[in-house]
Amino acid sequence: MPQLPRTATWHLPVADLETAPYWEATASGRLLIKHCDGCGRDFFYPRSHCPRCWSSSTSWKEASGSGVVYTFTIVRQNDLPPFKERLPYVVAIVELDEGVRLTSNIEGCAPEDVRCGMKVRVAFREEARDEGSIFLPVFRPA
Amino acid sequence: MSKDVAVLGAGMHPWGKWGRNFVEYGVHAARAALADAGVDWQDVQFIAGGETVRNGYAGYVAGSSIAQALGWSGARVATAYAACASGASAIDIARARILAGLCDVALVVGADTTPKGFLAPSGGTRTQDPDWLRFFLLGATNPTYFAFYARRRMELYGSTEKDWAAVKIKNARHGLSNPNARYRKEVTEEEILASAMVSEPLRLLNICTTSDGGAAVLLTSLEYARKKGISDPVKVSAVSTVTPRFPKTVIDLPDIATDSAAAAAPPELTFRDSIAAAAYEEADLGPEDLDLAEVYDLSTALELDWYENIGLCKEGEAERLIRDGDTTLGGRIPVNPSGGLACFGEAVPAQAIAQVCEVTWQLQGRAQGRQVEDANVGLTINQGLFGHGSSVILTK
Ligand SMILES: [Zn+2]
Repeated sequence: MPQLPRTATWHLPVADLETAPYWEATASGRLLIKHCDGCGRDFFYPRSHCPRCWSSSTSWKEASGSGVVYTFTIVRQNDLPPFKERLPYVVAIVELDEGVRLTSNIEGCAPEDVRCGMKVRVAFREEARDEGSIFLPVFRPA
Repeated sequence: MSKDVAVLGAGMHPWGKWGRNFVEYGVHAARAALADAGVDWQDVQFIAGGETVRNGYAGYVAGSSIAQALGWSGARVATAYAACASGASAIDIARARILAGLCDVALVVGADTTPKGFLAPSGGTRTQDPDWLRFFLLGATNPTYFAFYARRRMELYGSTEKDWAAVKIKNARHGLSNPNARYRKEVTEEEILASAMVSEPLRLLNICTTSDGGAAVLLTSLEYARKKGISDPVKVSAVSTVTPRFPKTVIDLPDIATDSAAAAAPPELTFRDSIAAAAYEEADLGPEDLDLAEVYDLSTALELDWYENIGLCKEGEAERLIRDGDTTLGGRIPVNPSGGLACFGEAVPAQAIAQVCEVTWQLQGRAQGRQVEDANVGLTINQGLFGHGSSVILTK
């Protein structure tokens, strides 16, 4: 592993016009996905244009926050901070009731208890860095 | 008009952890390919390099770095980046120039020098780059993704650690006599199952390492080959560099999210399926025509996914193929006779070219100690980050 400057790992996503509403919502405990008013489809990650029909008429839609574990792994080796201190931890793909899938962490249970198909609910984990903090959507057993 | 170009020469620098400059490996491989073809460097009209992102500026302009080291000759140059698919992109550019009649002789080369351990994100702070975010917000390392797919196989098809061990054992045997392979040693099921858990359910010996290495092919027009007295060269009959289609519902590196399959039916073929399908269509061939395949076994479990993606069997039947020995040398359709990434480790910009070198030697009957009998058609396949397909079909 190359020696990365440790500070490189300690930055948070910088919200821009496109993603600011997403991060503002997670800070108030809501998970947003995008909906295209042109063709009626939901999409994710958030973009200003629909990836299907290119309509720029898109709106934010609050997700129910419930879903199921599609697949997951228990990470037992990772030298990058801050994850080295968190080992072992679960990285999972969660399928929301709305159909979109996202990569996230599963918390609130022993890593060994996570199963594919397990019902989960969104929670928000504060990630603090030098320049501030954000709330990251993570999932817990429902 | 034929869409084929000839592979007149193939050459490699052995894979390993040599710690030298990537240009040195590239030059070694290029000279080997030129010697193999009996073509002089001064006669090369176009050189295409696969970019390496871990070797500074010289790596960003790999094509010209290697051209300069071979000696400036006035050849035209390009460098391609498509992550693990970089080599296939470079081949595609060279092939297109030949088929367009813009040149007759093109050299394609890729080489890499790698750091120790699993590939970490390249340096810098890029807070809107999903590849950066997945590493630093979610702790989703590369093995995490291979583990996602492995877990799905367990869930859907009852894949087991023993099946994955069988892949590793097979590839280790295949690579035993390959002079370019880094690991040439048999491995037992006990050793594999006792190796350290990295990202459950994958253990260390299920995941390929990173390596230094270089690979090159010399491509020419069929007419040029004929003039050299070679009437039946190995030919590139298809190069597939397709992108995914909407809605993309499979998470591939480095995606951290997918479109919804709920509102729009996903495409008939997954992205990985579509890479092979486009290659078959271009070559007017099908999986039943293959005599061998070189697939990208970043993990042992992923090799099983590829069996299905390239149509060797139906979905969920790959475990049966490995258990029955179908994909072992001497079996129905040998996969990774070179030993695959299990024996090589990944040298990103060189790997897709190395796959083409192996299939070329197999079709020429020159793969000593690992030769597939009566090999006439071979396929290579791989997938580059950020939506890059990579598949080459070679025919005799
Ligand atoms: Zn739309």
